[in-house]
Amino acid sequence: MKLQNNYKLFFILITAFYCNSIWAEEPKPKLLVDVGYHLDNNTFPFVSIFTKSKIEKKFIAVPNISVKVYLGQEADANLLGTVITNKYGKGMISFPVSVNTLWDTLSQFKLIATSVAGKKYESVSNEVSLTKAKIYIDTLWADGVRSIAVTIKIKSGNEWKPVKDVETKIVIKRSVGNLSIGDKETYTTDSTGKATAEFTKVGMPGDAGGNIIIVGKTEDNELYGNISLERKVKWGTPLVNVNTFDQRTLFATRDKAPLWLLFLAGFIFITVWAVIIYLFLQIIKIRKAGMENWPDIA
Amino acid sequence: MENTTALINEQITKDLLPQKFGKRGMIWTGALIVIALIGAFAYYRQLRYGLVVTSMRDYVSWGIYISNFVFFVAISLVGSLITAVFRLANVHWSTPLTRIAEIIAVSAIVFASLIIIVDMGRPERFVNLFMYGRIQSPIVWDVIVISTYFVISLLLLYLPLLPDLKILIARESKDAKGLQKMYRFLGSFWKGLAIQEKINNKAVTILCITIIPVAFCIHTVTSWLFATTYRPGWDSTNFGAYFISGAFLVGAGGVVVAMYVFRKVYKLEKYINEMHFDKMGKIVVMLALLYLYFNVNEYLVPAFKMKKPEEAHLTQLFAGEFAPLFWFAICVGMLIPIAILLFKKGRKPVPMFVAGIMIVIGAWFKRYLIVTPTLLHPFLPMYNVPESYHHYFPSWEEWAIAIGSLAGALLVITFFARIFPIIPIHETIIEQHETAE
Repeated sequence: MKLQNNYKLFFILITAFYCNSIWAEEPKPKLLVDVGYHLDNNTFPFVSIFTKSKIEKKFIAVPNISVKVYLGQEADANLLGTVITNKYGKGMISFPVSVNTLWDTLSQFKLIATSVAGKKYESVSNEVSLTKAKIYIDTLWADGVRSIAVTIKIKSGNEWKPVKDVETKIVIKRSVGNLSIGDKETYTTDSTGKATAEFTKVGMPGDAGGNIIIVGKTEDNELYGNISLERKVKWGTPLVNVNTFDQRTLFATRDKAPLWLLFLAGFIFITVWAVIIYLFLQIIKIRKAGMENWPDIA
Repeated sequence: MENTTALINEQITKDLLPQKFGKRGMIWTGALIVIALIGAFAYYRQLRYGLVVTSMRDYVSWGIYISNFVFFVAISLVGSLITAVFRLANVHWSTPLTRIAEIIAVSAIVFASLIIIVDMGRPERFVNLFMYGRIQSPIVWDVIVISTYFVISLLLLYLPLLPDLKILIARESKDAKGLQKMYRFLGSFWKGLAIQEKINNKAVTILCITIIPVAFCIHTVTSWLFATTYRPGWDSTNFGAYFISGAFLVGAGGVVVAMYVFRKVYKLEKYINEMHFDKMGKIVVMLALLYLYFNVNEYLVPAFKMKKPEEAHLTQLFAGEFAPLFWFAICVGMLIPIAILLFKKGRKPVPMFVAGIMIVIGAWFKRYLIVTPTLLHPFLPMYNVPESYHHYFPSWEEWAIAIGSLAGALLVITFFARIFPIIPIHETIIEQHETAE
């Protein structure tokens, strides 16, 4: 009897679970909005937005989402603008002139990003609170060794003060990505706000003038965001652009065949065909001998 | 004594003169003509509708046409081996085989040239190769060297034929008028004068010296069509030697088959005897071992390193889609013939004929395996292409054209044997006298 009851209970539970999975409304996926602050070359700041959703334990970019970005507080007067994310879920917006006065007075600031509710996603909001910071690059030369010193300063009242324990990256900008300037991935600022990296990539190819671009930056820093500064230095090897377009090469056009190939191929061709022509002449000779009925002199 | 000599000469001449087709000959020729005509019809369809009638697509752009081309080039090399190398080495036993080898060479090189044009979607553009060709391109080298080899092979066929033409012209009453006209056009000036003999012998010696490097060039350059391309299976510095060794083997195999058939059909047992088969058998087994060595070399080294693209290619060959064909070609084209021919009993006419057939068939499929699997394994993966692009199996038009070209080559040999003596009469008579003395 007890066993029979257990079977009934099991059957009811299975049915209930099955019905639940059929009729239960599928929950809406949750939208996540990332906000990033950027300051390139200590000039105009801008904000980056990344909209994503977690599906099956993976973050998937969500495109075409309108996100309103505010400075300080969520009010129309503080609106920096509206971003519509692209197919990679990314978008960015620079600070408009209308907030310049407010921006100049701030030492610390807050960026608020609020997505506009749509059919698929509800409105979500995210914010970051940061301190205004600037980055400086100095080149050093001591005992035949080149170094780069990166200084981070933060705004305190009307002054810019160096700040310690900030993790920075000092890299060489290349076509495809960045290359670390020294042996370490990151460098931390000391009490003077300075992080120094030795330039070990001697002989690095530069542009035609031997210039390479050094970049000092903070990446996704919780206190200062993404600030970066570039500096062109003449520490590279001048790149000599070898243009073989007009030269005689194996892969050039027919009128620019290498001379050695022309001579070699020509020599072989002429030699073999000279033999063939000689043989044809021999046939003519045999023919002539037969036609004239030469006496057998051999 | 003089009467005996004349009788012997007469007997040799009678035995070796070209014979009219019998019933079997007519059926054989008729069958070849039909196959060749089907091939011509398939080519007409290809010309009319374009290369779309073939199974060649973006990846496999060289199918059985190019395999066939490589096969023809390979088999044509036999002319230089049997005629030139043996003549220069003063090997006399090969005399009855020289003309067989030469006509195989000429017919093969003619069809090698034709099949390349067949492979072109727009054959009328072939002329552009001469007008705008780049000397840097191995394709241009191939065109030059094939034309040169064709002319040299033709000369090597023609010059030793001159004394026999005199004999053919002398038999005027017994032959058709058309043939007589041709004999006269080709060799009426040959009087057998000592000065003519002297010039002819000198010319043939020069030809034999010239044809060897040209023959090596023709197949090396053909191998470079592949080896100068950076692809799995072709990226080899060994390809020239690998191709030449394979060419000698298939050529020798072809001669063995032809000498058996001519011996049987024209009853030439007196002239192509068991000694010829035994000696050819020894040569073939040596060439098969040589080619086997190059095969081991060609596959073992990349298999040992197993670079990713090579791995895909080799796996397909050894254990994948092409494995049955690959092991068939290796066993039938090399291993079994070696096993047969290593023993004296295997070097008798019938087993030799069987081994020869196996070598030729194995060689044809080996060329297919050199060309096609590599094209199906490019370095960049094949994405977003129709399923058919991942495989290649020739269309009926391709089969018909390829088989038609083989039939065409056999027709050339058949008609040649009908018109001219397949064993040199004059040389045989001379050698007979030298042996008697």
